[in-house]
Amino acid sequence: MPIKVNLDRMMLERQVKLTELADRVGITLANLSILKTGKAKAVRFSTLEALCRELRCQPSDLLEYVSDDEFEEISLL
Amino acid sequence: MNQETENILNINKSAEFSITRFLRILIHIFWYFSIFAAALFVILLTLKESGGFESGNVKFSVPIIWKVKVHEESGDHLLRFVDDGGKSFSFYEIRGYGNARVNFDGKMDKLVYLNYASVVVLFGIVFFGLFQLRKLFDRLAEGRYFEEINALRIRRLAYCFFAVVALSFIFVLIFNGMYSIEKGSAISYGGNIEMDGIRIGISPIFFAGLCLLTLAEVFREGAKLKSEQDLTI
Repeated sequence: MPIKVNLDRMMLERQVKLTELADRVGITLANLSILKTGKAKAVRFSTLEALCRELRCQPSDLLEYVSDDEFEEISLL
Repeated sequence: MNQETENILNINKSAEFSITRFLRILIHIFWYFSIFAAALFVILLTLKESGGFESGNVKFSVPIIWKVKVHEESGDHLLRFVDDGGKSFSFYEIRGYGNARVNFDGKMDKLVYLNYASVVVLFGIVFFGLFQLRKLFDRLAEGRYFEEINALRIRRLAYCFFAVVALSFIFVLIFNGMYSIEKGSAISYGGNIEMDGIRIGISPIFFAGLCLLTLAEVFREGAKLKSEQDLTI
């Protein structure tokens, strides 16, 4: 899927750990991990809202559209 | 899946009675009973090669129940029909349709081996199907309904049904030729196969197999939906 999740970059900027974020957003660590590694197939608006609230950012900071070729290169890395 | 729904699922799982659990127990009982029956079959077969063995007045043998239809008289023949008490029937007495226990008198020849082989093959397929069903219900009782493996097991079950129908038909053809009872005879394992003239209908087993295939497709689609649901964060 050519939608890239930039959650790790945002977390690095805000200096938040995965466990801490999971606690604050109110989803399990396993689910957040799925989201972070890009295995998720869909994101609920409520989840996105909570993430943006806690990371003080916009949805566009978390999600990014890349072309298919580019995405393949990224996933190969 | 959030905490709330997980709690609800756990409450459902700990319910004391469910149809799935009941069926699971039933299938387990049936499974062990089949193993017992198969073991008994093998023991009886190996105890004495031919007709069985005698103990006092009782004669033990390995009866194979077939539907036998005999129209016309025939002369010397391999088959002798024996009732429960060990009394012989002549060909004339069982004219028409009926269930007869087919017993083999005298030496065990190639034909008899083929007979037993056919039974063993059919038994094997039934065992495979039962095993799949057992595993399937183990999973269902755990509350894991829509998974890819369940769909696969149902599909295998359907293939078992098709195999039973196909092999029965083939065995009917083979034995009909080999017994060489006069024209018009038929030995049928079930289904609607008749060799008197030729009449082949849709066997209920075949139909059940088709239904199972459809069910497998439904389960596969369910598994896909479930994985999508699980991966929605």
